[in-house]
Amino acid sequence: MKPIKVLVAEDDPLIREGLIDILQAEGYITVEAADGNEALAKYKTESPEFICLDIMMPEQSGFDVCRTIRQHDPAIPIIFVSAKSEEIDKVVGLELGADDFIVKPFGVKEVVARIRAVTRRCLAAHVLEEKETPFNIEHWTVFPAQLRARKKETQIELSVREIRLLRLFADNPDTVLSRDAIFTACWNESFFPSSRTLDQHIVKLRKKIETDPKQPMIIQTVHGTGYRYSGDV
Amino acid sequence: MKKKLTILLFSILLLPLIAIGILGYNISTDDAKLLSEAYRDVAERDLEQTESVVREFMKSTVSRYRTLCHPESLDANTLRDIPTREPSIVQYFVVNEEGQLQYPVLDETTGTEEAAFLERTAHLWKHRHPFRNTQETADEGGNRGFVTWYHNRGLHFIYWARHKDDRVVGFEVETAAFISALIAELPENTPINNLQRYHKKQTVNEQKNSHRLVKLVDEQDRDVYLFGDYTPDSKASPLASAHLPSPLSAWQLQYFASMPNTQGMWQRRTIYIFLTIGTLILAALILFAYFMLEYNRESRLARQQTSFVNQVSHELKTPLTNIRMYAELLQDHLDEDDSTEQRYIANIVNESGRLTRLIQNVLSFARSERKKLTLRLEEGIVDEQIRASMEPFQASFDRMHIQVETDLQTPQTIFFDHDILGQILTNLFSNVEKYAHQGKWMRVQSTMTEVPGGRHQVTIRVSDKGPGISNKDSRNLFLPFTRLQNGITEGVSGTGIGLTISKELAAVHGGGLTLCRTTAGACFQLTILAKRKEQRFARNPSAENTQPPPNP
Repeated sequence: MKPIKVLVAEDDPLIREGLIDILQAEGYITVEAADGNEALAKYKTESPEFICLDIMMPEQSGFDVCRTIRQHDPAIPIIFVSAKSEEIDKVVGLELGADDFIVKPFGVKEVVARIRAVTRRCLAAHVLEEKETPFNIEHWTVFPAQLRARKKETQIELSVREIRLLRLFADNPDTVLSRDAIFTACWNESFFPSSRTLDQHIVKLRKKIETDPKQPMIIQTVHGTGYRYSGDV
Repeated sequence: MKKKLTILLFSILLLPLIAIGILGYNISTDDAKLLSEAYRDVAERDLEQTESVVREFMKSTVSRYRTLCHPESLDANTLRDIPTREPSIVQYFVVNEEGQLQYPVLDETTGTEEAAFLERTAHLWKHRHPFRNTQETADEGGNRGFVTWYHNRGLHFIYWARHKDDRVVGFEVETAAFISALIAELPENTPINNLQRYHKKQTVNEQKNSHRLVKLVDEQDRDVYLFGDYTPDSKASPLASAHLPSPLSAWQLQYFASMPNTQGMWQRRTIYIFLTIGTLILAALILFAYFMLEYNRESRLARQQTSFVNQVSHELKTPLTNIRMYAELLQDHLDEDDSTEQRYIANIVNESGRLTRLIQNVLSFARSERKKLTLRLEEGIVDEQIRASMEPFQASFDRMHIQVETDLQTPQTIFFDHDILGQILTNLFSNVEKYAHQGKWMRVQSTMTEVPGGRHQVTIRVSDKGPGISNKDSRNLFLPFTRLQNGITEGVSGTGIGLTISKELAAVHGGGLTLCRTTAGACFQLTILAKRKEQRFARNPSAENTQPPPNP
């Protein structure tokens, strides 16, 4: 599954950093910009597939940046993240072709849910291009294009990274996968997070797919090495 | 509101001014009439004085004439002699007891004067007893009086008196002498000018020195004598007039005076009235302008305050976003067994959530003050929104041991404003958390019914078993900045705009927010109108006024 590159244009460094952390945890590759001009420059040089735009930025407003980008690419998903919560701001943003509008102060879950929704809606084609067809892991059927998995009547939401992890485990049943191998397959090679980050992702994934997350049956821990998917649970 | 206030203030100020104007006009015209009447009255009194002069003259003249009617002898020579000494007598005459003229008679001794007299008086001697039943008889049972007649366009009159022997002795009066004597009695000017006294008394500014004229006119309206310092128009009619006593009863005394200039007076009065009204209008306008300035100043101040709060709320958003976001990220990164740290972080997350709600309410309130609340409909499921809005409170409810019951019957996908519904629900749940937690119970119900026009009405009830809201408090519950004074809110932070803005938002969504009647605790019923395709809803005032149904 090809990583999705997201441009985060936000003048407040802390919010920018936080958003980048959230997006990276979700499995996106991030590019950052601190003002409108930089956002346009990064758009041209980095060719992101998804853009998060603040409205009130130095040099150029998010509205102006969106207008310019839309002239080149009418399809690229754009989410406005702004403290402006007036109806007119939302209307202008959506009229300019934005796909969603997140109002500050936002919660992490809200941002994640909205980013996933826009990814599902706008990037299904991108994922399908990579021939990401649905696959099974245990009793779950994973739908990469929908960022979802289903088991009978139960449906869960998944991040891009979680789908990559599940794909890796599903493709390698009964194989001990080292931390490095998992990082290489599921994280950007240039960015190796701490082993704690991987553990936390596994914990969250287990909460979603395991019947009893404290007694994991699907993704098992191999102490000192890594993790293993037991294909015959 | 401003338009209504303007109309009201103008009505209050303008109506009395119009009334004053009408009243002033009436008083002014009445005054002019009264002044004319007063002038007439004064003129009559002035004339009365002249009349009394004439009466005095007549009295003394008649007295003298009576004496002259009793000469020492009635023989012809004596009677011929007296007129030569007495200028007021033209010719004596005597009528005998049989009523026949005894002297003068036409015979060889009759002089020219006597013949002329007989010719002038021929009509008198046609009948016997010419002085019986004569209308001219003036006094004392027909024993004396004047007889007047015209001859050759001239006034002639005789005075006669009946003697004890029933003979009548009289004489023709020398008219010119009589009139001269009368005129000599009349003053060159009237002795008392009542008109001037009146002016002095009334302090009438007009014509402080009035001019007047008294005319003595004969039977043919010819001026005989006039005195005074006024020259009236030839067509002017007298202010007052009086007939002279007999024998000049066809003559008149006429009184003329320069009338007060009521036209000019009226114009001046009108100017005064309009000046007064103008001054009052000016004062009223100044007062009105003052009130409007005060009103505008207060409105501006209120707008500035709202704008300031709005600005501050915006500025709070960025740091609050960071606090909330990093707290939630940290929550994700902490191990589950780090219970103390998790608890601390949960508190930060909860409190930042509370601050978020507060800011949202303040901004919504500022928008509602600017009438800028609008609707943005999106597809969604109401029950999911209820669960999502309840989710941030779950930890807090658990900690307070609040049991939450749900009876959600709106799983259909419809169009509604997620932000508005979320904000109202958050306010209602927040109120339970803050004020009704000791009831340890909350129930949320949702239903949807079809209403005319192909729309759907979603009804959501949030009930609790807290201390409830008294009837008295319920009246002001939805007014801004109202916080109940019954101890429920003591020690609990709050702005007093949560329910106000919730009700406003519900109205924007075509519904309302009401307090239901309950036996215990409180129950709020929220209604909103939803439709299957995007549209704007008109405010539904009836929804705000509907009586809440009893709580089941």
